[in-house]
Amino acid sequence: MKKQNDPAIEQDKVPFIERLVFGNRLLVVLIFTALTVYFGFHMMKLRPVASFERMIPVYHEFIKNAYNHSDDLKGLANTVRVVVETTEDDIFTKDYMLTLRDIHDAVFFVNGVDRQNLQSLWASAVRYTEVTEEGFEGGTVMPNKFDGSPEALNELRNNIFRSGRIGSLIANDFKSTAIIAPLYGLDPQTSEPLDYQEFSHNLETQVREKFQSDTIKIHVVGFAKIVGDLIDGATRVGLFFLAAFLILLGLLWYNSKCWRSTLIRAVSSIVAVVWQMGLFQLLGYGLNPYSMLVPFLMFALGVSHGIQMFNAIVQQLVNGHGKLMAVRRAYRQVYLPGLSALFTDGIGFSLLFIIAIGVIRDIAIGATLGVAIVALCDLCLLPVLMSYAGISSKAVHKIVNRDDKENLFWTLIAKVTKRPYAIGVILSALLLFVGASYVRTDLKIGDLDAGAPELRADSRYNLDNDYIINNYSTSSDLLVVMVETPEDKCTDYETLINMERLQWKLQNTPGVQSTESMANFIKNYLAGMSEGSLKMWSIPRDETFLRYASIKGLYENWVTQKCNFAPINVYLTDHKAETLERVVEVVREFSSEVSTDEVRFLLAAGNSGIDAATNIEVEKANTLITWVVYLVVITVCFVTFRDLRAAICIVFPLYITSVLCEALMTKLGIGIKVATLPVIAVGVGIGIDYGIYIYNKLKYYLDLGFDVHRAYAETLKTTGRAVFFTGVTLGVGVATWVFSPIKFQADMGILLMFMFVWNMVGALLVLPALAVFLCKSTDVKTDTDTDTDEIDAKFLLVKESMKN
Amino acid sequence: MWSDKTDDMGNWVWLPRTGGKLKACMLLVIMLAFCTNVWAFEDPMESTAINSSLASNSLLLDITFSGDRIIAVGEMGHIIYSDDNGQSWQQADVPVRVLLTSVVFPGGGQAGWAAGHAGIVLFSSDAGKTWVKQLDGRQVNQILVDAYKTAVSEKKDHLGSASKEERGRLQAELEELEFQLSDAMGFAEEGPSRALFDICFRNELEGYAVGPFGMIIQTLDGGKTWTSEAPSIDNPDASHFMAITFIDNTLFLAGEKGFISRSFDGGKSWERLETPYNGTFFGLTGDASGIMLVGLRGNAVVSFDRGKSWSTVKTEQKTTMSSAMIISDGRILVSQYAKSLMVSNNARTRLSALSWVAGKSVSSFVLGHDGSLITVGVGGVTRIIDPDFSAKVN
Repeated sequence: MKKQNDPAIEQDKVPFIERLVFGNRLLVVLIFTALTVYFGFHMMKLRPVASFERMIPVYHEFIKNAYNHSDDLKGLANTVRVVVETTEDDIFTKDYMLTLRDIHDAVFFVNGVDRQNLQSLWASAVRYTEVTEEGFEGGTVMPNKFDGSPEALNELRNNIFRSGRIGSLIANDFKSTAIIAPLYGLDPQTSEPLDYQEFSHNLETQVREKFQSDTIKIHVVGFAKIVGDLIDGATRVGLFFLAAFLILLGLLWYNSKCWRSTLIRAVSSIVAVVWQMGLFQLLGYGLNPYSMLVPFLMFALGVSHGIQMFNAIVQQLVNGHGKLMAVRRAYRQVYLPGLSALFTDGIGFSLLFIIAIGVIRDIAIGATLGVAIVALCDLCLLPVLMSYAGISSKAVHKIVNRDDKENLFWTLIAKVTKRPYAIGVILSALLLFVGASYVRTDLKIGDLDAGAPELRADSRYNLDNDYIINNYSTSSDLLVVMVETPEDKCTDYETLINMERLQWKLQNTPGVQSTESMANFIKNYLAGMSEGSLKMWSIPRDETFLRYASIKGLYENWVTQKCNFAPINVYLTDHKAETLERVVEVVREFSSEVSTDEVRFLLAAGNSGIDAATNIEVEKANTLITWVVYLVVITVCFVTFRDLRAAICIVFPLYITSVLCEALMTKLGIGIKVATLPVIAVGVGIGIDYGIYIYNKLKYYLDLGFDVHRAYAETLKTTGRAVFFTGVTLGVGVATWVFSPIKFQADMGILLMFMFVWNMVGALLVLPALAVFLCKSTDVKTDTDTDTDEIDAKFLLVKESMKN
Repeated sequence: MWSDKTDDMGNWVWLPRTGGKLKACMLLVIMLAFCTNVWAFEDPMESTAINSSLASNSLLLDITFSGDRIIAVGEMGHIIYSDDNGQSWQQADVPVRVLLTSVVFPGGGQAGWAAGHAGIVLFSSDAGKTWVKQLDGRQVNQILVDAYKTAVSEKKDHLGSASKEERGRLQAELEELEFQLSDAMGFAEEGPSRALFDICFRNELEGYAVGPFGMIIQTLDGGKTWTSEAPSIDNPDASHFMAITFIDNTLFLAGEKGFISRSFDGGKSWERLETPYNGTFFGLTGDASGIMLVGLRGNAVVSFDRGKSWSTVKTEQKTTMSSAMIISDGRILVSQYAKSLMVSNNARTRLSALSWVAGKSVSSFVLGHDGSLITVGVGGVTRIIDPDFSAKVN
């Protein structure tokens, strides 16, 4: 703490930055206004995006393999499934079929649908085939000139049985049928990438709203729909921001009882958010559902630092300084600790950059930038505005009086530095720590919920998905093993037999529902060619036949035009991490056994392939980020205090909170996933601020010769309150996310809120309790009972010197 | 890296000091181990079947009894057996991984044979628990080439000593046989690509197996040696043979394009028969009071005079039928590539569908000794505890 005289007199001792800011107050306001308008303009152009590539570890081998073969994986085309359900007995009624035709036509005209490949009972491409004495015979499943008569319906029923499409196009219970719409990657009207949000809205208005009735229910699933719903959900985050803004405004007012300063602090924080978002847009980023967190954090950070500035100003006003002088003196008092705290936050955020997943890097860049902007706003704009506005004397009066009223609460907290209480606190912390360590052994990797885990289990999408999974024989969890061969070798006997063997191994792996590949196609085709005899359901050794079959397999995308690639589709019962691990392990082992330089069995495409890669990388990244964060935090502590005891006092409560957070994740059924990666880094990065503030002040008083209890009681009077309020502010800032329709946003909200608040609790209770045993007053005269008066006197002296 | 680890005798020290032969063997084994990248392919003809609890859910094609034990065969060399009328199944040790199509234990004894793709014939002497390979497709090809070679040379001898009137006919027959010989040699060149579709044994010595393009082989010593009488069968279209069985001491052979033939002398001479249907027959059963052939798309024919004349059986469904068997009251039970079975009337002139589900797509079936019905097909074994064979009368 500086012990200087009046700054107005000793100009040369006034920090340069203070002179710069306060010497050009009007200019500061003008520059900030201009830049805010500029960034605000760009912020308006910021669009919500849900780019899939940015949510996955694109650098992982599996995903690289899948991208290399994206052209070969036509069977995985981006499709949307519209399922039309009747609430009546079954689908074999005239009304249903005619409505289905209208819906088929409506889907046909939705922009983005690959109309030629649209499939439904009303599509001419949907046919049945039958083996006869003369060979194959077939026709469209929907009888020609369907008139809804009982005969026509009967013929339709027979054709459906012969088509073999029950379970894929027609529900197993005959209460619904599907319209399968492949999508173009590029919008056929604009040649731009298809806008999934618009597509999703079109489906809702042109299909669902139009045809849903008492007897007809419409279910829609598909990747495009997930993305559309995700963007829709993300757009609602704007509302959460408004809610967070209002709550924080209320908190500010409650704390200050002064509208003027409340508004100024809110405005200053909002300016920081506007800058950050504007700059983000200028750098070419969109707002993805993950990086949307950044504005919330920035706003809360801005507000919490504003509070410390406010408290300092009040202190100076109480001491009888004028408006401007009070702000300047307060500024001098808080700018260094504030800056260093923001600096450590910035380090915490920027550490996230070591995770090479797009959305996490977006958070890292956005938040690091944001911290710099918050620092700029807190250092320049806020003090200048406060120096104009000041704080109403009524509010100052109230605050001074309230200090007395609240003393009881703080006195209670200060008791943790009494030995018995300290022991109690430490024992409870250890108990929690041990309990949580036990609970978190069950912590899972990856998404645990069925369907689209990005969305909530009771979201419309997931309800639709449930319906389809329950009534059709399709699984929404698909992992594709890619088989690479030299040209024209995709149907070599050896390769097909290896595929068949791998499929059998996989089918014997728990969690695998079924597998499908060129090997199955050939067996079916040979049996079909052999009058349907099951005795021919085998991969033939006849090379001529195999070559011929490769041409047939091309139509069903089981091989490629060049016959150098064949996918194996592995349908899974779920996408739990254990299931994916098992499947990956089986394929890896098999691949290392049979793959040669020419024929390679590669992992892995399909949504589950991506999930598997993401799980592997997320697990690694989680371990890495935890180590790095704690390494950095310990280093920062050590550099700041050059004392191992300080590091223990500060880091141990943080670590308990991290473990508690993982226990909470286990209990809430949240697995380690992309969305939870930032939680530890951000939580710990901000949490260490609390510890540093408190320990700093505590050490200051200890160095003055106070015993731990008194030192801490004094610490609580100023810094303790600020830390308490900062924790609450940050917690509230992210709390509104809990209500997000996007599951992972809600998860992030809960976990970050937990981290912010518990780190605060840890810093206020556990840190001082540890200090009781680890830190000793430097003064010999620490016996509180005998020397109270003397110390009180000394304390008052110190207090006076601080004020000056 | 290892070459420098030699002792003063110039021997590689990481190998034990043993005789030269053993050392060479060990080296070979080690070299092979390093060559797995190249040699990893496991040929279904040479590789043992994979043990799996899912074997009883895989595609199974045929099922039979050996004493009280039920044995079923199917894809990837799966052979499973049950000693509790199909309630629980064990998997047998099988030296191949090909699709097995047929299994037989003559007289329900301990010795049995199974046949399948790649010309595989397996033999078991312990009621189906363990199996050894008796024959594979390469040998089958050679047997057929030899049979046609013999037939050609016999025909040539015959031609040399024949009278003028006979010469024209014999010349044509010789040309036909030479053509078939070149066909057989073509198959031999192609490799073991032909399957065996059905196998039957009259007793533990005399047995027959049939396959595509008029292939038939036979043994009189329990499968130790095999020969072929294919050249003596009148089969100019090279129709596939799908089923062969003894009925009332007469050997019946059925197949593609309405083919049906019988032999009274254990396959030495064959008599071609005519039926009203020209499609493929997959199944064949009967006794002294009537023989039924079942085939494609609901087509079945019946004969009440040991095959001399045939009449069409009226069938309720138009699904392809896979096998047929006489049940205790003399009616014939027929499996089809559908969920249900069909049953004949007492006169064996009509087939009606049974209303209950007997499997996904049934290939074959047996009646358990506890009265249950055990079917095999797509999706493996299905067991119906108390089957009701009373068809609706219509």
